[in-house]
Amino acid sequence: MYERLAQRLPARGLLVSGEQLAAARWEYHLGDGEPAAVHFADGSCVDARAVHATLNVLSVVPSTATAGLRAGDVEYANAEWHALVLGWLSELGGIVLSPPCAPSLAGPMLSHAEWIAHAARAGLPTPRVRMSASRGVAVDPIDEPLCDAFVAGNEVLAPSRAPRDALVRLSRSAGAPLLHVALDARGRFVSANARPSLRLGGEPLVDLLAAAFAAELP
Amino acid sequence: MILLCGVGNETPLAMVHEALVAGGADVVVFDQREWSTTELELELTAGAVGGTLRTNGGAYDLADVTAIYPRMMDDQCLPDVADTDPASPVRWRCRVLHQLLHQFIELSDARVLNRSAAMASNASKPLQAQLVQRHGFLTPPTLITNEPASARRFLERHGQVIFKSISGQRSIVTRLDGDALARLDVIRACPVQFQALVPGTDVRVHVVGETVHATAIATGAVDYRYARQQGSPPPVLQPATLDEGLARRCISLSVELGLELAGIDLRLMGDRQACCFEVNPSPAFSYYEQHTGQPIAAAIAARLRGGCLVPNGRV
Repeated sequence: MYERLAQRLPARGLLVSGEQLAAARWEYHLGDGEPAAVHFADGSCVDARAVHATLNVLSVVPSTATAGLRAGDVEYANAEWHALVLGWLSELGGIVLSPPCAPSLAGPMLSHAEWIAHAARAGLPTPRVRMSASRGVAVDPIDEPLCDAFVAGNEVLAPSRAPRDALVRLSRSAGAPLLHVALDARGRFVSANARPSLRLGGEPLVDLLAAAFAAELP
Repeated sequence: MILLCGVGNETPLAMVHEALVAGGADVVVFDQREWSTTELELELTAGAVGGTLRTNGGAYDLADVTAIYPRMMDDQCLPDVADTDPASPVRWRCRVLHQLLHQFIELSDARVLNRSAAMASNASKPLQAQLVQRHGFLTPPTLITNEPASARRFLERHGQVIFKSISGQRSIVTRLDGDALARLDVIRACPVQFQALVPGTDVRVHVVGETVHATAIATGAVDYRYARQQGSPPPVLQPATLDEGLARRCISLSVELGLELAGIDLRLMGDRQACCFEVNPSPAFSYYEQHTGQPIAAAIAARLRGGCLVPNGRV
């Protein structure tokens, strides 16, 4: 899927995995006019500030980054790697779907309750939720079947009955320019994900992403 | 009603509590040590959060909460939780209670000093540096690398270099010299932030809403918090006055970060330039207040008593 998206972009695309980032040689400069450079094992190099468009679905820095460290050092080292990659991703130029949103590496990291609050403010119908430290969580029942909607920038991929404007408002208010939203049969908000799998949306989602990038690229 | 969350006798929390009580404020304290006898129920309807907090013998309607000062420690490190089995029901209930409380704090319309979302930039110093630079502060020449040869070249270029953590994990700022250079190979598995040592005077600026309290720190140590370990006399702290433009920049930086309360670490250089090292979103202001008498707890209490400034409380 990622290769197919890369083929549709007007500029050269590069697919970078978390493992490659973890194995790379980093020379990330700040405050001295030098680049934020990552040198990969194959000899290629990326300066974050020179990138024009990014699809970012990185959730964690892989554990390979800290392989070989003493157990007592791993937690500290994981935090350091996360901070480095979070900072570097934040330097990416041009359009970024999904940009990092601290502490998340890609898109906002919101609880289900926070997503519901954003959805309600965006104008989507939402279920009532009751949460108790002792008695757990109770949510209004969901009416199946569910339907999937996607937002990429200003582009929306959704069934015709879905409230497109409200979906874009949700994407903007949550700071998630790439967003998957599940709605129930009554159009109520069920869940959202700022790092959707491209497989979930298939070719139409690839088309949507290509259109979103094309709208922003020179 | 003002809600304070944390360990009740922790100095900053206790100082704010005392200032609020002295001013006649209606205050509720959720003391984390009382978690096992605390109950929290939330209800989310059409995006609005409400519910009830039952703690320390009282029951409180969360709709009445106008301001919150969360200064919570990691609940998994609480004394009666830390030694329990990670899968135990005790630990699970403590976690759920704290998660619910965090959700209330994030969703509430109350004024919060500070929300977790606003505090998150402190988890990555390079991310924070990007935001800091937009407000006219300098960042010292910095290299974050896992390549020993790059670090050596950086040292050759700048002459005097320190190193410290990249994340919000506490580390002691240390000079890159003999001992550290000998161990430089260890950075291959854990990248490190190196910075050119810039001369000047350390100043901690506490921003509380629209007020600024600056404290100058005179020290011979690279990291004044650890002066004794670094072989220097204790630092000398004194109230300082920032020029108006710099004070405004400190406030605007805090506002952009979404912080009602911030501890900004500056180094003032001779040419009226200011380097900004860090914005601490949960500052232990008591250290500075106890050394200088600056009324920071009173300013926090006043900010909390001000309640919401706009309908949804996002100031």
